[in-house]
Amino acid sequence: MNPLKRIIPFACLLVLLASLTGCEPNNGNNDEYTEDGKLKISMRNLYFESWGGSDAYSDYLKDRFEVSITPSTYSYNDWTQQVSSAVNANNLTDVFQFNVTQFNYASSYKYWTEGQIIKPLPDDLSEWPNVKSLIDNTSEIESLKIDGHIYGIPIAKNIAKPNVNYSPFTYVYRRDWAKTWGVYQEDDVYTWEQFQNLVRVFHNNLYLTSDGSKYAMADVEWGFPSLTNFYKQVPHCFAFDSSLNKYVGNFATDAYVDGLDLAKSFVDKKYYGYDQYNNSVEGGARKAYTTNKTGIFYENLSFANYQTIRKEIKTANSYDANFDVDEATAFMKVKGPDGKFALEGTDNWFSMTLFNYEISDNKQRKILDLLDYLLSEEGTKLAVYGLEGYDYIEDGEGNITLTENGWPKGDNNEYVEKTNGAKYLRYLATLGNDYTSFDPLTDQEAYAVLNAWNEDMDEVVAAGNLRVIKEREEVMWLSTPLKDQYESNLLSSATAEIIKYAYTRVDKSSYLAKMTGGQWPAVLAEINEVLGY
Amino acid sequence: MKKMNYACLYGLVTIMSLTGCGNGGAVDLDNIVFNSASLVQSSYGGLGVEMGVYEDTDRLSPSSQERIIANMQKLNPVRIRCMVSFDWFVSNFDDKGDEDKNNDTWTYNFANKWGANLDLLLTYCQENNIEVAFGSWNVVGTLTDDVWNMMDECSSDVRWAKMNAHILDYLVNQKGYTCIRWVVNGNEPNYLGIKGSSKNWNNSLEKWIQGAQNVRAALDAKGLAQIGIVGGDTTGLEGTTEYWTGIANQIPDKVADYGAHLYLSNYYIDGGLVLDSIHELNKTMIALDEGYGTERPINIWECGLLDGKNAATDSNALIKTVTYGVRMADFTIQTALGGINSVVYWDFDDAMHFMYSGGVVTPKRWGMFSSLASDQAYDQELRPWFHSSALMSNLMRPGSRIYGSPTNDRLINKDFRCIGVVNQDATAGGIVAVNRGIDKVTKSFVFDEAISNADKLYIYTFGEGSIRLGEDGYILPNYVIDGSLNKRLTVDMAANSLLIVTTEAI
Repeated sequence: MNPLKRIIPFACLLVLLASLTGCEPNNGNNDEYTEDGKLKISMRNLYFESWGGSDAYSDYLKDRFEVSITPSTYSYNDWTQQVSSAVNANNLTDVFQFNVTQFNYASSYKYWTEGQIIKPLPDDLSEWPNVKSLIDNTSEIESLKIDGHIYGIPIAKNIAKPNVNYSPFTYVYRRDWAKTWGVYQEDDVYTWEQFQNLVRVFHNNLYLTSDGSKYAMADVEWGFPSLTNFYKQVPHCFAFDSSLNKYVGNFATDAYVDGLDLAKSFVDKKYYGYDQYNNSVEGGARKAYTTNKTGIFYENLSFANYQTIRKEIKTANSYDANFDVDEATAFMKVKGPDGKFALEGTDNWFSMTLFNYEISDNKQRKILDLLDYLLSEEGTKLAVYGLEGYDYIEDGEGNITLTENGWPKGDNNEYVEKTNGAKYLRYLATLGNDYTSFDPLTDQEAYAVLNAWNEDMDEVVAAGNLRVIKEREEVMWLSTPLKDQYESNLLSSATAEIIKYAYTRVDKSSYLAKMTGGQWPAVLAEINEVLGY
Repeated sequence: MKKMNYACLYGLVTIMSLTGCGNGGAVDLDNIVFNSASLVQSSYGGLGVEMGVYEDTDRLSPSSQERIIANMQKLNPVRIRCMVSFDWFVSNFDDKGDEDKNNDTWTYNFANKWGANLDLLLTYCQENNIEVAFGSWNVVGTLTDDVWNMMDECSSDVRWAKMNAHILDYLVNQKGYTCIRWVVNGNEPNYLGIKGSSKNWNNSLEKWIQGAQNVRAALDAKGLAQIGIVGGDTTGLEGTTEYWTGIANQIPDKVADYGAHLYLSNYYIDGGLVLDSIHELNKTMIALDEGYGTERPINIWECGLLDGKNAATDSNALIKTVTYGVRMADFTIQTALGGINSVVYWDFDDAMHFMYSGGVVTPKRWGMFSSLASDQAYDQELRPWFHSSALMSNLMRPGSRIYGSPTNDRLINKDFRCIGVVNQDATAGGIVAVNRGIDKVTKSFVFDEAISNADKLYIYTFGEGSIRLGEDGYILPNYVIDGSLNKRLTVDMAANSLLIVTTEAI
């Protein structure tokens, strides 16, 4: 046979194979399966610290959705660096979590979409109604869309209450001391004058009767100086000046400086007795409160934090048979100089669950299936109660009875912790505040107090008496070259200067020069130009 | 020298098939006969407990030490697992300024409190014929400012094998602690943790396998061929399956057993599902390694209950409950039925292990009691599961035959499980049974195998309100009757209770 005749068909085959290979789309399908056919998925989440990945509840989910999950976690203080390292080393898990904020939006979330680091959600989420509902109810969701796509799941704080736009960054205080020293006001509501009087009286009874180790108030390290809340318009960099009709640097506004001057006076008078100047790592201010060294403490009073404060203060006062934890951890409601309450605004989500760009569509769909289930009523019951029939029984009317086997109690006659992987996995979509009221592990006394405060604030909102301190959405998520480059530094530099001014390390003119000089003019000019002011 | 437990292997296959089919024939649930057809293991390995070297003896008083010895004698474990940190014993590290780890040097110093406590513990084990599995939790180094750089390669680092060989040579060949029978090639290698908090963050099966090969060669070079390497020491069923299959495929001849840690949800134990999981694992492993379960026994080297775990303090809130003892016994029954040759419980004494977090030192409350003189009385006293564990440990001695029963099929009855135990020379034996249901049951038991010179039966009914304790604080039988295990014995079992019958009181 003519050798060329043999070669040509083979050559044709090669050409055919080459053309087929060239046409085949890269769908990122690196899916691996276990020997029993389960799709392997790696997940990394801040709240997985106490979860080893293996328990009856996560096994139920693994069997139901035919997945094999390898969890890992972050340490809170190194979270950003750990994510960055994984991105740079191309070593991301299939699903990971990052604290996307307006400060890192451009350098993380937006940058990762451009660099094909993160995979968008399907545009049509109708197959996953619970996930879709979560997304639809996410505050400022349009700001998270890039080219019309959303590139992750904003982790909802409370899917049952998505419309809350104020944060729980407020004061917990010693109502018992206020009563003892004759400055308590009914229902813990204080006018501005009453509040300042209370602070003064606390100072007289604490600082002046001690060696300085006790004092009237302290702020959580990141929240100092909280007193500016009653004056400032926005929490961070960019305030809108209506009279000038443009954005200005917040920390140089009259409103902010008024608040800062008050904080400075409180430092000078030792009302602020905790060394906010030298202490930047969280923990010391809280410890001062829970060990009876201070009477007013500003903190993010999320349920978890509030519960912890109550527990710690109870422990510290366990020798006192008359100690009343409710009286020692009351929520103080303060009306500012304008007669209104003031709380920092917040989005209804915290951080995002992001999908590695490399994962297949199949894998992403599987993860969405899992999350949609966990957000459903049935999935929520699995996460909160466990397995029906073993951990709980539900009657025809939906009443839940916990079983003794499923929910044993410890020495203190309270339900003991359960390792429930379903609860951990649900954190990929929501922080779980929706089930706090019926979670057997909830400290119901603590919850009652926090819930009462929430109800009070809802009423205040409805009456128009709450000033929510929040940047306008148009500037908060705005991405412009100079803002992206400098905003984070502007904020951290400003924070340092604020503390220096409050502790008289710099004078006012130096402070104002810092708050109006440097990169401030260029950044503001760019913002105003882009937004048309 | 290890016995070839062919009967054990047979038992594994038989029991798996029985359980899988649900056994269509009628089963007498109330009259249990332990006979040759239901033999599960022909030579049980025995029960053990995790011991530590009491990292800070400043906290123990002389009376505490007396209690520790007394409790050990009562518990009578056949083996212990003892983990240390090699960091305690190595110093003066010199990397010679180059990248070559082979020429690194360091010195050893055992003249410190950990070395002294280790001596005490191993001396006790040596004198009391208690076998020891020994190892270092992790490689050497610190989480910050580390100079050793062993965490990259973990146990595959060439220095790991050198250290293991040197330390084992010191303890066994020089100090004479021949009670050390196994070395642990790092604790829970599949549980990685995160960099900065865990030394294990960069571990992998491949590194573990390389490390095991290195350690095997190093031990052999020191004349320590008799010390086996624990195969895996992994945690959880998924990670265990991954490592065990890897070991079976690559280095079965380098390990002495298949070892794992199991901390399971109550749901698995209460429903008899532990046994199912073990059978699944056995099926996989038998297909890969014909020595699985025989030449290489299956051992649990740490176990406890997952529910009630407080991750922050590594304690268990249910450790003082009677049900903890019932569940651990149920777990032990299921593992024995599944062919697991030995179980080591976590752990003996709260005072042995501590959590160090944020400058605060907290004992890990997961023991059978606390010997800390500073602890409250309710923490110091023996917990119910000490008593149930002591009963089982004294009954299920090495060499015992373990019998199952068709009544153990959870598809027939998920609330009742039992095993029969006959010692090696058939002069003693007993029954371990659990009723996990909500109603009292009445069961009768009889052994076909003749048990000679045992004419008294000591009956312990372990449940809420039924545990009898003597003035010394140790358990007493609820009944002592004249009788024999070869004659039918009928006993009522309260709801959620454990029954132990023995021919010898502990």
